[in-house]
Amino acid sequence: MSNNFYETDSQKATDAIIDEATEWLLRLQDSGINDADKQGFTRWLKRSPLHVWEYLRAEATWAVLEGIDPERKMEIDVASTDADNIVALSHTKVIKNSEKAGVMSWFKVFAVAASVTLFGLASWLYLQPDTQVYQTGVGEQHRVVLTDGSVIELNTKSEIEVAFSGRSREVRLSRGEALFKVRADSERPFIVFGDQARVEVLGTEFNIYQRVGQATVTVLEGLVAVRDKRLSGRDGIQVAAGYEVNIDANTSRLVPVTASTERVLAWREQRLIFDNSTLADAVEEFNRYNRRQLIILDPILKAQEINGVFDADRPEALMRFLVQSGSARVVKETDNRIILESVL
Amino acid sequence: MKNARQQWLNDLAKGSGRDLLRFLGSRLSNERDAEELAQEVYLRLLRVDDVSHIRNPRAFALRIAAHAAHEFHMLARNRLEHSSELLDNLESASDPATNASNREQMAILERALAQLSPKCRAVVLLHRRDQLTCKQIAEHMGLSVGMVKKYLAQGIATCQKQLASFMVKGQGAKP
Repeated sequence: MSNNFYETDSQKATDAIIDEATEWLLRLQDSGINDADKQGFTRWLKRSPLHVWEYLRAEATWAVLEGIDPERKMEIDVASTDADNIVALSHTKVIKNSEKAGVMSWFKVFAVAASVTLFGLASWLYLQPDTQVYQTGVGEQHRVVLTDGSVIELNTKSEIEVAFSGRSREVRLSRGEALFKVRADSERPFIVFGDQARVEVLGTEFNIYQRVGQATVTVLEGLVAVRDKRLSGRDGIQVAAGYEVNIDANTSRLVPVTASTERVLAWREQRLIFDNSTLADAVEEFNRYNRRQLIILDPILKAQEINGVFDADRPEALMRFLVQSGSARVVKETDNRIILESVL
Repeated sequence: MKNARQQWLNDLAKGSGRDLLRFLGSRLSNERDAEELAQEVYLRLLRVDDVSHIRNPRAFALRIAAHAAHEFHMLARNRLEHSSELLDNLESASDPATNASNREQMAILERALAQLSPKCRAVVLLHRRDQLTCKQIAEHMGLSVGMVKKYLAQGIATCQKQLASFMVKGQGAKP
């Protein structure tokens, strides 16, 4: 199996981020940085953990390069310069105390300021000028057409952040579930960052369902590269149409399995399909769509399996189904919740 | 040995920057730890709302990273009480001069520099190795300061990309 698809695309995107990281690194060393620069830099960092990572690496590379070639074996030979002059200078290490002292005092000054900021700010910043945020409430679904013609369909209780640049198309799935139909653009890879997964494509259709500590990536068309963020290195796997991968805390290796594509397509019609699902999972599904929450009290009922197709916005239907099949009884029924327990 | 580690963690906690960078440098071949760190820094950055009072965003970002690195390692230390592996890593990270991967890194950087155009290489060496300012380099090489910076950015980015591809190879090919 070759990883070329993944490596090539991801390399292009990563290289673009590295270029930007070094540009910021140098720009921030100028004395005359203004608020717009600061905002731009912070916004850039906030685009993804990959941006943060490459910026920190740029800083590290910058620092490590200071110790390069300590014996000064590398020649500096530029035809257009006065070679003697340069070589002579390179033999005398010029230590610029002023600059070094400057670096140290920045750290001291900002030690205090940064701690205060870090621990004092509670508010979340999501609404950035060049980042579009789309969200849906409980029971809502929303279709977003992006500037490149790609379409994202957002399921209930979901949120995405879209950041497009000339070099890449990046979407962060902050929570929930979304179906992506990506318009092909070989120059700009389309990358979706989730809490667990990182998915990268050129043009295809796929769905991500993100829960707490768990994510499922289902591919409907084309080929995508999926990477578990916790697993080391750049080990991504390719997932073809009709397959899906699940990532949770116990995942040690990504394995594509045959996908339940009907389930994925069903949510757009507000239908829930259960195929040997536990009632605990079924109830969780219903509760994503409705303010009226289903609550199951005992573990026996939770573990029971269920098959069937339901309207997502009618939790009463599941309740009736369980009562009529003789497996549950209603303990309490209000506008906000339905509490069920086993009849046993 | 224990004192050295403690000292290193203390330095990191103080956020003296240089130690953090050394840490990151020594971790360039252990992407998993560092990525987890980047994830943490990212989450913390998301909480930062108002940037107007940040006087130096570069130091600010590093400061957040230092905090995260510190907590991250305190956590790892608790988690791996029975395993000395991580502690060994910490100790070797505290002394990069004797760190084999550090030497390997230098070799990669030297190879990366060798690939650069002569002008670009000259700018990087004069600035990083010989500590000249961009203005001094510009004067000596007959270039504009803007061009010097352009070469510098190009050189650093190339080094970083070389280190990244080394990292991928270092992970080993998938079966």
